[in-house]
Amino acid sequence: MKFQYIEKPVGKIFSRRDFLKAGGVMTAVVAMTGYAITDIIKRRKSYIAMRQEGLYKDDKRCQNLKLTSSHQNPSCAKSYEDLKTEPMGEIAEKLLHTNAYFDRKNLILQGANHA
Amino acid sequence: MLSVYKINTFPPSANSRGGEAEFEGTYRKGELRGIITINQDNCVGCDTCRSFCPTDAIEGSLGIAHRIDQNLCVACGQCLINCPFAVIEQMSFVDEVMAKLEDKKTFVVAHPSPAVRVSLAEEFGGKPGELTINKMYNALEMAGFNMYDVNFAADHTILEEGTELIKKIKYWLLGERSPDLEHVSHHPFPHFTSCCPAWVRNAEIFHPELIPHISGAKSPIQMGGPLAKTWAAKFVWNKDPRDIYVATVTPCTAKIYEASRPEFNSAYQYLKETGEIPADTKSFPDIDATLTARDIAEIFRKKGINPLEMSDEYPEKTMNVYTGAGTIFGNSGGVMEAALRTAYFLLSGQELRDPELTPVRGYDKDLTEAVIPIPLKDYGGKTLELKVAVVNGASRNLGTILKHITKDSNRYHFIEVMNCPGGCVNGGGQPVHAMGTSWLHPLLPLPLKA
Repeated sequence: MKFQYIEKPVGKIFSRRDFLKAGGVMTAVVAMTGYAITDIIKRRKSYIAMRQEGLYKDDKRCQNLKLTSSHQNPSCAKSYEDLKTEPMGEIAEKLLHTNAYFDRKNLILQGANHA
Repeated sequence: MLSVYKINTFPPSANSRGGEAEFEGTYRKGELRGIITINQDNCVGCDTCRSFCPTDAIEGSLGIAHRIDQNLCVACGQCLINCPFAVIEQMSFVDEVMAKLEDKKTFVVAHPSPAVRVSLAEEFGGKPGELTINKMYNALEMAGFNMYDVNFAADHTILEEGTELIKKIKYWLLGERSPDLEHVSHHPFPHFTSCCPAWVRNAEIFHPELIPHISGAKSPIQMGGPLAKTWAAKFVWNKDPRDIYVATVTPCTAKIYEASRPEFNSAYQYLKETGEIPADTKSFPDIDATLTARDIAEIFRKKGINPLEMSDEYPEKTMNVYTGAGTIFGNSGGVMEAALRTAYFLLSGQELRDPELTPVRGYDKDLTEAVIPIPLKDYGGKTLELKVAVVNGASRNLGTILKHITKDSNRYHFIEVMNCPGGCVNGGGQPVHAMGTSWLHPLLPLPLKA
């Protein structure tokens, strides 16, 4: 019976205690990476928020100057007056509007190759 | 310590504007292609960029150098600012603008966008969000530019788009009929904003059925170009429009594409019609060059100017007057808020008691929905409930919105779409943070030089 191979019972390789240990380590790893990733997302969001904050600060500054909404801008009024037009007037329509949106899905088709 | 990445750039090449064919892929004749490209030699194939692309234009799998399908690319630059290895490059007009600044005959106009004033400082070691308005004006003038603020043009955008919205409300919601309202009869609700060029191109390629819903008002920059070359040239600067060279300073790479669209030569067409320029003048575009926030920082560095060291004093000039509504354009929800401030005034006859419409602000929510009650002065104070939505970042939320409007076409009246999460402040032309923008970088123990 010298060379007889006896398979070890499962419990010998990986005992219940080992299983709990490995499980614990894995949970810790997952939790820590999860924390690190949310931290990065937060930081990424925070610099976007900081820039947004800057613009709202500028908005507040303009509001204090009584320049809250676009129709209060005296330069805008002057430009319409000088050009003798009004919002959506004939000249405003020419300079400030477009109707040139293209269905580009079909432009792909027009450029399609056929071997 | 916050530091910013250096992003490699390349000048437009001879074939960037395509050949003689009228249509090539999704491009029309003359439009710039390949504005954003991935450097094949340095790309490690980490796959980060693909999760930020709103149109799935990036090809390649893990470990293989990626490339961009230019026919699907909307040039928003989100992949560029989120690449952890800074290997995505951008087309740049720095050399051309530098040459124009040297040319004494040319009247070079700088046209800086709202979101640039809160990010420019970062390129020179400042904090994100540091407000540099007069410092930026002074630095631009020192570099040889003449000033025309995009925020002022944004006020024009609101007046035009606000008027359009009101006409649509009158025609579609209140049932008024008059010859004046006739031309909104083929522009049904929901009304989409048109200020974001990446969104417009996205809609043109993937959702052409939405084209009638998109506002016909141009974006602030494209309103600024024709106004600079017609109105300002004649009434403010007293210059020959042919000598004016408008360089916009934007937080956006899709604006480079937008400026190359062939229909944006309204100033040329108008001036020719009115006979202010000779009939045989060669066509010129409304916007001659588009610089990103990084590009303008590069010009300042080349000229040895540090905007943070500039004076904070600046005289008030016609071309730089703007309102709070104009400046919040750079934030997600800003165009909506600005338009509602003016629309509320025009419909109700009174100013909003609290102009800060926080429900529409896209701080951290991907998709914001709100109902704004507006009393109508012409209808004896009857209240109109305007249903609005703000899409904060196109990659995830555009699909949701489209699902909503296919199910219920009356769900929204007015929808703002911003391609980049957070709005223009997080645009593809902004300074790129080594810490923060990229997801991988803070996990690495040593600073990565790419």
